[in-house]
Amino acid sequence: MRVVEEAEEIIEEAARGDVEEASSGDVGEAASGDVAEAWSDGRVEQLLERLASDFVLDNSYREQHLSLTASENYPSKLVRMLGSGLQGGFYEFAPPYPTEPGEWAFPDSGANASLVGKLTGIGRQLFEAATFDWRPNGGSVAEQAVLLGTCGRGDGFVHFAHKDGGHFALESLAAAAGVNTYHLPMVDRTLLIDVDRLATLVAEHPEIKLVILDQSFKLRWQPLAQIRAALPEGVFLAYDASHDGALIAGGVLPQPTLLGADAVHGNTHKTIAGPQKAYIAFRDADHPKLRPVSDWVCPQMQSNSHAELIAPMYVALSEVALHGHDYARQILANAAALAGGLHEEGVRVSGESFGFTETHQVHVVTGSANDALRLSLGDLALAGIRTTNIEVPGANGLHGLRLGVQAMTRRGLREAEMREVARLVARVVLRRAEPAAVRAEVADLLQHFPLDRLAFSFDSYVDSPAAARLLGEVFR
Amino acid sequence: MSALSAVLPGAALRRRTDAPHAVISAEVWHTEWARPLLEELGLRTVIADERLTAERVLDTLAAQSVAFVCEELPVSGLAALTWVARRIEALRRDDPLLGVVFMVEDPRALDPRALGPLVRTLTPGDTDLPAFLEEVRRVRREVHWELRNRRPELPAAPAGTRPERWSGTVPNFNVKHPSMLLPYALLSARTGRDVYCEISPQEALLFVADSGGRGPLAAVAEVFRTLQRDVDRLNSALGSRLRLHLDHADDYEVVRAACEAGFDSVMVDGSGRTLHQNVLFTNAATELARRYDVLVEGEIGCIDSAGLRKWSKTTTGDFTRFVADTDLDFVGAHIGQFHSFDYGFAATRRSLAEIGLLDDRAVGDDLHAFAEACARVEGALTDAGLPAYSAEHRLVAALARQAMEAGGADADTGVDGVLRAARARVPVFQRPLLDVLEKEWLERRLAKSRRKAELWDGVFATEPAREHRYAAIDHGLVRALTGVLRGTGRGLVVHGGSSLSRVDLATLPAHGVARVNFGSGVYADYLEALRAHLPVDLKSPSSDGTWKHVRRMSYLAEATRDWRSWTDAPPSFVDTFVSRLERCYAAPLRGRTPAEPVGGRS
Repeated sequence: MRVVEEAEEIIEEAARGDVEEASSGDVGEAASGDVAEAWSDGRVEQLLERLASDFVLDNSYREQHLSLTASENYPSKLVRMLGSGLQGGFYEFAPPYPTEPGEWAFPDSGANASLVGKLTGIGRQLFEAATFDWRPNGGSVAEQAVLLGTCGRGDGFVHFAHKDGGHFALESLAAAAGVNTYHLPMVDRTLLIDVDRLATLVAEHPEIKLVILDQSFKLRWQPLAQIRAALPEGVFLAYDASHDGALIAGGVLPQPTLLGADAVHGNTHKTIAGPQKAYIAFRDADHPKLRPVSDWVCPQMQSNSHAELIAPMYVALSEVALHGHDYARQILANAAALAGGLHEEGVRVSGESFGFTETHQVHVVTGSANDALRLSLGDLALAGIRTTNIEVPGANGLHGLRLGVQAMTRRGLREAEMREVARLVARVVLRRAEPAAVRAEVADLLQHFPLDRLAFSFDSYVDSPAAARLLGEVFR
Repeated sequence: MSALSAVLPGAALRRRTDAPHAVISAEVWHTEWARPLLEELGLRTVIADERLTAERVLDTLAAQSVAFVCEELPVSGLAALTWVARRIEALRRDDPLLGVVFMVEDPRALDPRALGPLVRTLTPGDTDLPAFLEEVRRVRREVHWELRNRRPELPAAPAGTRPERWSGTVPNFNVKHPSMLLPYALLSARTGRDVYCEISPQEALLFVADSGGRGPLAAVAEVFRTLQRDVDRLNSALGSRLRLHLDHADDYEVVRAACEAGFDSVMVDGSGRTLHQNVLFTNAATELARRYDVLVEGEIGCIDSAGLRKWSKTTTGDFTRFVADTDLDFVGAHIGQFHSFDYGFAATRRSLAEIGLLDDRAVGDDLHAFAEACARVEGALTDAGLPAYSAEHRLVAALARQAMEAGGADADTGVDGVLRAARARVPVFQRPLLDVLEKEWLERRLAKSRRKAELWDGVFATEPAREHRYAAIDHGLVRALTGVLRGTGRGLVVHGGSSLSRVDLATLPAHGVARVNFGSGVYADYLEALRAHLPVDLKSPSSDGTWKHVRRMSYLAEATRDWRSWTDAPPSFVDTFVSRLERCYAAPLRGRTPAEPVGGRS
């Protein structure tokens, strides 16, 4: 414990500015004397060692586990490294609408503007949008900004009920802001929105100003064009692509903006293997809600948009632009193989009537909430299989597992391996196999898929001369 | 130079994904003398403390990837033994082979001899920690097949051309004893044809190996080399075309050993795995074998996955996919025959490793057993309500200390001597304590011996029984499978030839079957021929498992002691056996049908 306390002391000293004082002075001196002094400080060394230990544990965990969590991915080396590239935390206002420099303008080398230009350009292209706001610091911020920018006190909005996969971030905020919440009417058997009942709901409640398709437990593509046609002109239709962003950008799912959505938004760390950031893309640059939504993002909900993540976002989206179609197709093929494999093994897989899945997700029904929790945090975790538990949409309140194949697709697994994965999951879920025995098989399978060369990524370019120049600058 | 190495220090780039982990408590890691000893092992280190306990780390990491946990030992004497027992139980919940190291400043705090297998102390100036790590890794490799299932490193120079196959259908006989090579070679010389003989690693270890002292793999490799030398000698002396084939190898190390010994052909057998894993294993093993100019046979379908002669034929669909996804010379399939296989080698490696660990501590007085007994009795005293300062607690602690100090195995200085001395001086009411302690100690020793005997029985229970009936092969399936292979340059192999009638055997050449393997039937025939020459009763009803094997091996060793000198003038039983090989096994494979009625074994 003494060591930990000492390490924490160093951090506190740094926070008080002691370290800054100690290292101020001549640059040349700092480059020689102070560095040597820092090396000789055992407390710094201990702090670094303890950090290294945590990274050893985490990296080994990621190497050794089958990641079947629908909401995570493996970012490539460049995405990981560029996050540390900017020297210091610069502010960057850069809203997605034309504006004069004002209170929120900050001096800039020009590099930030250049990076923002690259990022917004590729974002607009990938989502067939007129604008691309890179600033939300997460998917929740993005959808909350959409809610607050489109609805005022006394208005209403419609989204998926939690049991149907709706996101948790909106209802409490809506209640606090005086916005009425309505749920999308669903057909349990098909897991599709009942468009006729939605039209009736909106007609009966003229205060509804927003319909937001915020599903996180998502097996199907919703009939967006019919939904748009059923909604009055002034109702804002938003599509949350946090989960299926890469499938849309990769062209295996339709573009929401082309089917009538006013905006598409989402985070960039699920099927898109980027940093934990988010975006909002408007179909129309003159949309009356563009400015209020964007202003809710920044400066009203967040003043700091983590500009250091612009470059990693740009690389992640560029990977999608270059490899997205193959990646997205492989995701769908893998999800179908996993679902089919589980079904053949005798596991109850949701959605048999529509071929189990149209996305990266596969839902497995296991029983009670406790049962699902025990599996995901207990036996499956001990077997080296990482999943999350959910209330399965359309399963009459039964709970189960939400599996996602995007991370293992990036790791290089294909249909044949996904059938192996199905067998391993079934051994635990269905046959209650000893987790340690399954874990050995998981390790055996994953040894063929090391993490240092991710598929559908720029990892193979890391050793190129161009990357050497880039990284040389990044770490200069 | 890579882009990363241009900007990051070399140490930061060194990927050590194959290095095992060590979980080190913060107290140990920050102990000045201990840390260099641990650092020089080059392991991936995770530092544990109150916020991230060793148990939590062990839950996160795959069991086989953690070599050992190293913690400080905060107490000494008998309390240390109790502490050690408790910690080992907690740390080894999921992996009984986890290495455990206790750091002690004073070597006298805990006698290492009192510790169990793969547990040790770390004291200032220790130099043998690398040897301990090596031992943990060695035992783990023996026990965990997945650690041996890593894709093998390939020899530098690729081979030239692929060796040529034979034409027609050749027999392949199991070698249960090296003396069986002579009749096989004679058969080849007399018929002027190729004859294959095969040996599996399990057979090599249990039937042929002189010693397993350097580990099962080394023993098997030595058998392979010896057999190859014998085969070369026989071929040279008799002009025979005897070839050596590796049977049922499901790990890369065995495949490599056979290739390096000079075998002509290897079976890379992934049929105990799922089809997908079978393909992965087969391809990696094939790539390895190709570097040695060796013919490769793969297996498809569950030939007998439970070892119980289960009837589950290869499906044409699986066979087609397997052939398409691999690059083999031969494919073995299940066409309805009886066939016992011996995946027992992996289990045998596990059993031998456990026996080794038991042997390791069961020396002399087995101070480990005595320490455990002391800790057990101390626990019982506490449970009975005796306070820690009581005379009885102190007596047990004193006995533990004296036994460690005595350290000898003879009646005067060993544990017996310590107990005898104590009996002479303690009050009568404390005497039962001594006898309970002795009972606990002896029971632990006995339990170890019992466990070893049980393990040996398990090892020798794998010997297949001979079938006394014929299987009905699925001729339609054989045609379908050979149809899949037609034009690919590959041949079908049929195992379990002893279970096929000679009529069925005689149909196989027409189907285009390349090789038929004969195992248990040939071995039984060899024993029968030998017993006619040198009578002995091998069918004692009381002998089973280990004893049955010991009897047979003893008899074979005695009866064939001079077999290498028989080349010029073989004993009559060898000729009898060669005739039988020709009549029952080789002739049908040249398409000759038997004269006698179908169904009888001549």
